Amino acid sequence: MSCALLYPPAALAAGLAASLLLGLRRGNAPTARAARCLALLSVLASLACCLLLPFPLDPTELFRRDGPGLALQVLSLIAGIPLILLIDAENEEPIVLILGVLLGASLLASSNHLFGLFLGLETMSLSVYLLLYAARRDRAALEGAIKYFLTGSAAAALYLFGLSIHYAATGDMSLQARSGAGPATELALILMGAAALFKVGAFPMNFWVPDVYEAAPPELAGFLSTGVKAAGFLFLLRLASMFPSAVLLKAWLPWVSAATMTYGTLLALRQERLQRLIAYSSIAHAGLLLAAVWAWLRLGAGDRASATLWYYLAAYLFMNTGAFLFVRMSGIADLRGLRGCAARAPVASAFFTLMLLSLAGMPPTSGFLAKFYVLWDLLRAGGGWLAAVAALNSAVALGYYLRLVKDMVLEEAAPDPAPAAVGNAWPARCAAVACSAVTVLLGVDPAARGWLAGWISR
Amino acid sequence: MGYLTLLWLIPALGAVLVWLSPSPRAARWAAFAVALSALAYSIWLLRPYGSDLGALRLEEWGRSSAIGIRYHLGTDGLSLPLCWLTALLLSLSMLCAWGKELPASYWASFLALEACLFGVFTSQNLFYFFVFWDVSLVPMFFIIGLWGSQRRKAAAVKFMLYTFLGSLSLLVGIIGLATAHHAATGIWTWDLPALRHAPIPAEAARWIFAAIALGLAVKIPLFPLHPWLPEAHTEAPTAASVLLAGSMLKMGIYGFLRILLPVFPRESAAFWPFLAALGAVNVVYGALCAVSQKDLKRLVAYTSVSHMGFCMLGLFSLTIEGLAGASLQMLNHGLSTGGLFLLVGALYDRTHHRGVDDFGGLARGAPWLAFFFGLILLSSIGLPGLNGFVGEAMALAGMAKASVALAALGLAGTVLAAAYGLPAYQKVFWAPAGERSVSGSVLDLDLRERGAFWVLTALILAIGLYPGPLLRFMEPALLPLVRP
Repeated sequence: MSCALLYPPAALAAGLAASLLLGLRRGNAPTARAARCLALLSVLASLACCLLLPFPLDPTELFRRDGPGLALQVLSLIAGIPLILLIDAENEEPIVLILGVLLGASLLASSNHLFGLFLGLETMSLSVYLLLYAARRDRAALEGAIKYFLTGSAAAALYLFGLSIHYAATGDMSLQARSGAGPATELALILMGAAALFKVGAFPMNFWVPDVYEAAPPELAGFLSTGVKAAGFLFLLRLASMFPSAVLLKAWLPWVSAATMTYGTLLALRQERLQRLIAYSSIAHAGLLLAAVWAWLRLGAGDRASATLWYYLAAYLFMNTGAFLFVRMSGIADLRGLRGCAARAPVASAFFTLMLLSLAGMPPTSGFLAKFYVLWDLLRAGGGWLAAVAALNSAVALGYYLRLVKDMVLEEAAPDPAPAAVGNAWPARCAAVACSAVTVLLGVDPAARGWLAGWISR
Repeated sequence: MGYLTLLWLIPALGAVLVWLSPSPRAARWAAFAVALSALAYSIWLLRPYGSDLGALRLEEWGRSSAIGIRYHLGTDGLSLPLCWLTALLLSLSMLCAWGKELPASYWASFLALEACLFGVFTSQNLFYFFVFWDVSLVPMFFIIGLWGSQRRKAAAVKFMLYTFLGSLSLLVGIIGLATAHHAATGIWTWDLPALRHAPIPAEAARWIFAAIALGLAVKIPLFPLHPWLPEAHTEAPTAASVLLAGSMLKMGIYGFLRILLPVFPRESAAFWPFLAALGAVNVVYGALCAVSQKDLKRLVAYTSVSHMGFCMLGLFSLTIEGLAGASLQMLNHGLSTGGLFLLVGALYDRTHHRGVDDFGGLARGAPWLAFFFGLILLSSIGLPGLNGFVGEAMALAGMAKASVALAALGLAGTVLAAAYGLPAYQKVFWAPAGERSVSGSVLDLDLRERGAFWVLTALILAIGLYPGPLLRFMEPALLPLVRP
């Protein structure tokens, strides 16, 4: 059964190859539609392979199939569906690139080897760089793509450098946990960890986040902040479980986490552009997720204990995708345009309000339970001060979410009319309904985390 | 699904129903019907107590999750009267706002708020207590922000930010409590009855006590944490002011009675001077602020700060007199301050003025308004024979056992209460009308409003003259909290 390990990425690769072949035909629009259908099919096939196939008992030297890896695959595939449906595509190119991103994430998730991790990560990242420009061919998109490319390449170089030091010191590239940590492995981890922290947008390696998220079309920004970020966290988990006793993780991670959430929260308060604001809020959420990673390490770094992280990522997937969906559906770019939106579009405003309340962590939404679990993990792990910092940050964060709600619901419309709504077609509406339904349903039952822990540690 | 779940489900489902109703008129009728049935149902819940007043009537429903969170509701002599108060105040404020043109969403928000308040007052599980506590902020935010007076937006945001900060402190405290309890006993539980006298190490217990107390103190609100209250109460529409003062402030005091005193008797006994002193500061500070107010609604808002101070004084005397006085004072304050907000609202609807100096000699044209205003004001000040006196006297008597100095400060507060209440009343209703003041032409209370105020008057007199049954009903819940 060991080839079953590769079914989920193989389904995506097949879809990718088939969509590429579509380009041989003539005419743009039918190609795009056919590519969308093919991509959806391969995503669904890959999802089915993830969920339905049994767990093989023996991982091979290169690949594995475990709970966290499956969780990432499922999350990134689900995040990919609205992106495939909504992205502006004149021909098959953006769709092919999306499949490339998903393939990279899937390889990253099923890899059992340090170099395999790199291959997955780079497949994903290179496709994202191209996708950023392919989705919206203008100067801003080009600038964002290049900025992301340059900084991302630096991160990749750091990772390779760390990897070579590690290989020179140990002669081993498997993902097995190691007990002793000499200075060489410590240095290797610092370099590789820096790459992971870059990918999740941790302080101080998060300067690219707002620029890239703002340059991307909203649906792509939503995917970057959820699917790609989840891949970054799995990357971090894999590295962390190799060196559970390293100083970087034990001693530095809580400070990185506190700095990340405070930085994101404080800068979000001053933003006037909607996508930029959500980008900073996404940095703040990454800080909370890093706190969850630290608590996970302190609690023994088992698969079961990572349920908090995956619950948070799942909840965040739906609420942040929802928030960006509103940006896309309404075509509103800044806070001025948001004024009086509730009077013009009550249903869309109610939807956005729900997403914002969930991002702020109001019950009974999944955002609240996610925050609840993180605080619970932190207090169990003896991180009282970090829990206090997280709580304080959440209180300040309500300030900017509430500012959006206030502008939208309480203020009168600005004198100049808002731009007409674009792309308000049925895929966007269906995605919005799905996001709100999942956000509320996931938040109802406090036993959700226990269920997830059981699924991950099967 | 059991009896107590129905208590919060009636207004919650009612809110959906009202939201969907076709016209504002239908929405109003539906909302009033739901509010009345919630009131009737909350009174009907008294039935199983019979002669056995001491029992906490519990209902348990739902499975226990892996981390011990279990849906668990229960009522006793502390929670049920607060449910009655909430249901009554909402019904009366609907009655007083009958003639206004208000959309369906307005009434739906109020019913959603009522459902949350019922949930807070009946939850016996910390997790669900917190969920109801936190959700209650959302409808109140929209009510203040959408239907309040001129500076409503700033007031709504301020209200939300302050109380959300308090909520997070409460949340961290609650999680810390369950975690520390698990560390000490190996059992995960968030159930309040199971957490009584939790064997938590002193160091951790102090931090948890402080975090929960901070969260509750924002809601009460205790002295340095109060700035949201005058804004929110003043800018909110009348019915929202009534529920804010009447019920939502009680969530804080109720939290002390329900969580901190039973779970942390040792820390409560250790920290009482500090918290009681804050209560005394509240009494005097609130009264002094009220004296200098020129806006009637703001004046009433500051009296709330003062009255909540009396509750804290009674509570942290940790004597049975003080605890009973504090619990009674919660109800009294709901009735009298709720009534005063309704009256100021009625005055504002008629004249579009709220300033003390805008009026003069109103009693001539509006004798009923003057009568009810005087009576409810005297109840708020604490005139013997009316309900306020019983609560304040018991709270201060309890405090006198613990600390005479703090009781004396509280007593000074009652004198100050006369100083802020009576001159304003005299100016508005009896003084000769000045040049620019509104007088004479004001319409008196109509039959519907008079009915609402007669209900309040009856309760004020009943509690003032014969508080025995209510006190006996509360006593079994309070006795375990007395300092041994």
